[in-house]
Amino acid sequence: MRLKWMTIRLMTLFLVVGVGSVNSPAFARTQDTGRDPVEAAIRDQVNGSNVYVSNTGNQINDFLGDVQNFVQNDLLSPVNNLIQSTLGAFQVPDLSQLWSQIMGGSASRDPGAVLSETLENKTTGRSSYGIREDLSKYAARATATGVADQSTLSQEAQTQMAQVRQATQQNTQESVRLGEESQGLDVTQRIMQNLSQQTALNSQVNERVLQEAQQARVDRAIGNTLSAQTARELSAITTADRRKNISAGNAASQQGGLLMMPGGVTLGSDQ
Amino acid sequence: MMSLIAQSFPTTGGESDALDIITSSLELSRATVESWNTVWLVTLDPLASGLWIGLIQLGITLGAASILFIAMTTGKDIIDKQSWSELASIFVWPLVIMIFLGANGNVLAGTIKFIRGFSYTQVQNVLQLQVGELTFRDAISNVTITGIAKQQLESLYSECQGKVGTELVECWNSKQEQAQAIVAEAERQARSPLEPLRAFGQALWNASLPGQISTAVRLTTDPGSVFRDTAIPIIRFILYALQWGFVNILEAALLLTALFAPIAIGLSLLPLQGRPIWAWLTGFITLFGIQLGYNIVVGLTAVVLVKSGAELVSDVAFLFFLSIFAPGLAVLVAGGGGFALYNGISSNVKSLIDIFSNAIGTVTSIALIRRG
Repeated sequence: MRLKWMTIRLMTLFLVVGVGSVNSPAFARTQDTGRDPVEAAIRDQVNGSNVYVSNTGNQINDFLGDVQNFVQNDLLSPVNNLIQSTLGAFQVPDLSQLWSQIMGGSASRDPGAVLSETLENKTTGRSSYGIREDLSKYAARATATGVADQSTLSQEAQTQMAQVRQATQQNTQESVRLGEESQGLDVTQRIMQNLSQQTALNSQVNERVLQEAQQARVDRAIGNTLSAQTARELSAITTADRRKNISAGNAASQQGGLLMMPGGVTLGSDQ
Repeated sequence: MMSLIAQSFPTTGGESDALDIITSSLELSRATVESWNTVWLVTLDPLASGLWIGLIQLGITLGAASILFIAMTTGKDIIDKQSWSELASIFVWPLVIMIFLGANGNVLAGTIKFIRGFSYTQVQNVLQLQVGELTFRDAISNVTITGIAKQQLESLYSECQGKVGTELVECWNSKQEQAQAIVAEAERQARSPLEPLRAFGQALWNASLPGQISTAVRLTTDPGSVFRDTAIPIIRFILYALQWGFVNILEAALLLTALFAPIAIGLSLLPLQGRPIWAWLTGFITLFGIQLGYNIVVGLTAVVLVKSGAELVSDVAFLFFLSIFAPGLAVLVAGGGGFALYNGISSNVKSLIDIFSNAIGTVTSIALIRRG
């Protein structure tokens, strides 16, 4: 009986030691196939980063494609041609150059400009200063709202941002996991454990920074859109004032031309 | 962006179309005058105008009723008195009515057209009166076309009203070509040089030249006066419309009065205080008197403005005069004159007709006595 009891205690001790060795990474390393778990984690991380980098490249390409689509589809053709000719290296129109070209009369054949000429009795095909200015401002506003929409606010842009956030979350989780794993490793120096923990926390902070940055980007895009709306309203008031002015002037001139004196005498050289 | 726009922009386009508006307005005005003449001819056509024939028939009916009334009221007295002169006087007006209203009022229509043609010529001739080298008509044309051209210059430059700095200069300079075209076209329409307008235009297109800005600004050539509130053209529009309404309602009143002639003649048999035909004639002539007076007053004022070179500065003031004060004055003066004319005509004609009918009566009596 005593021998049986001693055998059980011995086996239990053996089992405890065995289980402890399996759970201990330091001990496990000696039993592994020679693969360093930290290196593996870094490799994984690099692989993940590669995926992330390629995703980012795709996203940039998608974004540029969206801007070009907006340029091609959302504006009237003569202005569109101008915008195409002023696209910069980042494929965003050069607003200053656009303004300069439209004010130089390059978009006088634009259907909107032609209609404005007709409405304001300027039908010689050379838009007036005010009409050209209106068109320039319109192009600038359309560019601002178009870029804001396509880069941030559209469904595609939001999906891309969500993907970026998701990839960052994955990276953070991986980083945190590795940090925690480093803490559990059999390292004699306590400071290394702290450093690992700090790295993990840093990753979390970075993720929060990214979230804030994305939120700020959305806010900026919405702010730009609202600013463009305000500018549009102000521009509408200016344009309406100008047209009212011209219309009232023309009405007065027209009525003045109708002046006739009793006896059937009219103004003009043919009477 | 400001540095980029500091370049030479093409001249602004299209404002010459505003001048086309004036040209088409002038053509429209001429068409209106011709239409009035056509309406007169068509309405007073004894053969084809249903309105005129209907009114003539109404006049004849009223005349017939009047004859019956006269026969019943005064016939008995004449028979009692055996007065041949009164009998003859009874037949004067029926004869007149017969002549004027017979054949669908051919004689009446011709008479009215003659009166209108004669008066129209007089009213038109007034505007050809010359004061110095300037006729009334030219003076009115000069003042009005100067006002219209100024209006167009204001519309042209109004785009630059809210600009500052380089934008202002660029906008301002882009208007020069059109401003010159407006002044040239105004002078072509007026067939004479419009000095104040030209000076104003030069002040405008020279305003942005270096050295010009510090030049002392004269009242008549103040470039800043090209900017104005939207209310000013509206005021001009209302005043021009008032003038148009006044002239056209005078034409309409003349035609309406002409159309009442058959009724006035038909009722002239009745022994009223004054014969309606004289009231009608007075009204008709008074309307021409208003036209004549209006042309004289406006023509004189326009000549004064042109002689003093004030046609540009006083454009709105002249419009007030043209549309409110001159019509008021002409109506008041011609109205008083018409009243006096009516009194004169009705009293004198009554005595004339009395003398005429007495003479006829006397001649008839003598003839009857000789036979008897």
